[in-house]
Amino acid sequence: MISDSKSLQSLLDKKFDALSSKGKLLAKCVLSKPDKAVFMTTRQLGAEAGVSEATVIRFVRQLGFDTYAQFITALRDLIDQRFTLMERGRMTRPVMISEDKELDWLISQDITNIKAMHKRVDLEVVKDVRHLLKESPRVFVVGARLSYCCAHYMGWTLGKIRSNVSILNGSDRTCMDQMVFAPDGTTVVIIATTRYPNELIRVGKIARRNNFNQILITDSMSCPLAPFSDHVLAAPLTTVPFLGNPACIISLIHYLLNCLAADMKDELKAHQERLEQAYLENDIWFN
Amino acid sequence: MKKASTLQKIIDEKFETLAAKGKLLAEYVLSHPDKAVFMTTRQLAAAVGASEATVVRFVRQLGFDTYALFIATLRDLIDRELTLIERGELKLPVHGGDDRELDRLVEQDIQNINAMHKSVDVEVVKKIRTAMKAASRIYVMGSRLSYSSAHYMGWTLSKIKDGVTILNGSDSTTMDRMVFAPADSLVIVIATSRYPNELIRLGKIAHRQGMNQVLITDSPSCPLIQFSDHVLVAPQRSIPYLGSPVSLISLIHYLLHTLAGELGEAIKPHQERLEQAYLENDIWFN
Repeated sequence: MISDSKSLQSLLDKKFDALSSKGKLLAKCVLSKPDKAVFMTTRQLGAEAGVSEATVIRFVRQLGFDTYAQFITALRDLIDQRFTLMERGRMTRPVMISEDKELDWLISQDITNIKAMHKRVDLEVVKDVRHLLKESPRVFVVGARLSYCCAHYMGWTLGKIRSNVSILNGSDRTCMDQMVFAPDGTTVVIIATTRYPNELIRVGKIARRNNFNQILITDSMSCPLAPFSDHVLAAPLTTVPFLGNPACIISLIHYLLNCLAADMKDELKAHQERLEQAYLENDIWFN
Repeated sequence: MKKASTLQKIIDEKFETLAAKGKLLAEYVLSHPDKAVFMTTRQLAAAVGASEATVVRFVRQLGFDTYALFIATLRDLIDRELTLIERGELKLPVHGGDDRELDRLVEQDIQNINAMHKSVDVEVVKKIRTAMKAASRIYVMGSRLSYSSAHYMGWTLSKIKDGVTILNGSDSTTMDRMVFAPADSLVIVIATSRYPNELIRLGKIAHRQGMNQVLITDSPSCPLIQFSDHVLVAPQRSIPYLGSPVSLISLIHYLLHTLAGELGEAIKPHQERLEQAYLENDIWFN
């Protein structure tokens, strides 16, 4: 099972003595089966620990969460950050009932995640991010491991909208060398998905030390890079993906870039004309 | 705007046999493909002063069973040939407000995912999974925009199977690596419009080597289809101004998820070795 969920564990440790005997029962129940508890309603969790629903709600409040949903989100984030590949497999066991049902289920999951992102995205942050992406003399887009595909998508498409964009692989330590000589006012966009690689966090620290503008695009507000970032955009997942699924982050990036393209106006046209000229001269596209 | 060449060919061939109204329609479609593609039969008829029935006859005469098929062909041709600047004009990213733009784009993404859901052929997916399981080496190749989807697929695939390599189709040295691939290798090419010539060239090389080839693409008119043994299409409902691979990612996620399900317990030792290496090298935060 899960080794230990440190933050929730430490929260519970701190408050454990203050809890009633029923609260202690609930705490033990949640910590011993976090992967089950995360899918339970207040009623189910109450039944599991043999307490009333009202006790569950009091317990959650005592731990400092305003609502049960917040408590479950915290639990989900912890699981997503700490679960190994094998534990993930056990949780969202990819059992095939039938091909069609599996497809229906996965698609509805993607759509749910995109809708959740749609509801929660903070347009004020998007505005600030667009401003930075437009005005910065240089933009680095960094991803590592799974998130590199999102970074590539963003960097690639951004390169079609403005100049001086570099895509960096956060797992490659030489990306530091490129950052050292970046001009003042450079913007670093880091894309991080759970589980968060240490190498990417290190890149975030380097960027911070260089006083770059830092934008974080991530799948959870509990991402350890959030404290070093000036602007954070989160596309939260409502599920613990067995294999990571960046569809929702890609959708968010697509929106961001479309808005940015509208902001660029005439500069955009000159930029794209030069690109098209090069494409034509080098016969890049089919037909 | 450049002419839509394949449609041009069809129309050229049949032009003489068309009625006077048909000729008018043909001229209109070829001179304003970017407008015609968004028109209903009624609107197209009104644009040239013909009746709706004439439009329907015209489409049939060109060899399309339905008007939707004709529009889909026109859309594919435009998507393949439009330059970045023309795309911008087509769907001027002028927006009413940030949140309306967000609504529109999210809606578009969801529509594309739903369209993929409807059109995906589960039998083909099954065959692809079998081919993936049987292959000793799998190369996942993308180029330019589609490299991000290829990276996602290759990266995640390598967490459930060994012998997976991600290749960049814009790099000609990719050829050197494919030359020595074992005979039972599988090449998965991911291509999104506009299709880069360099990727097509590499697809041809793989085909000439007799490698098993899977194509994941955004339109049934992708020029790589002729070299591929299995084709999966996540069709786009709109012409994206900047490409959006959301529905492709969703399709790949489905493919990998079901593959992991079929491999079952077999992926356990693979993942245990990975986790061991992660632990020893302190890869993950916490």
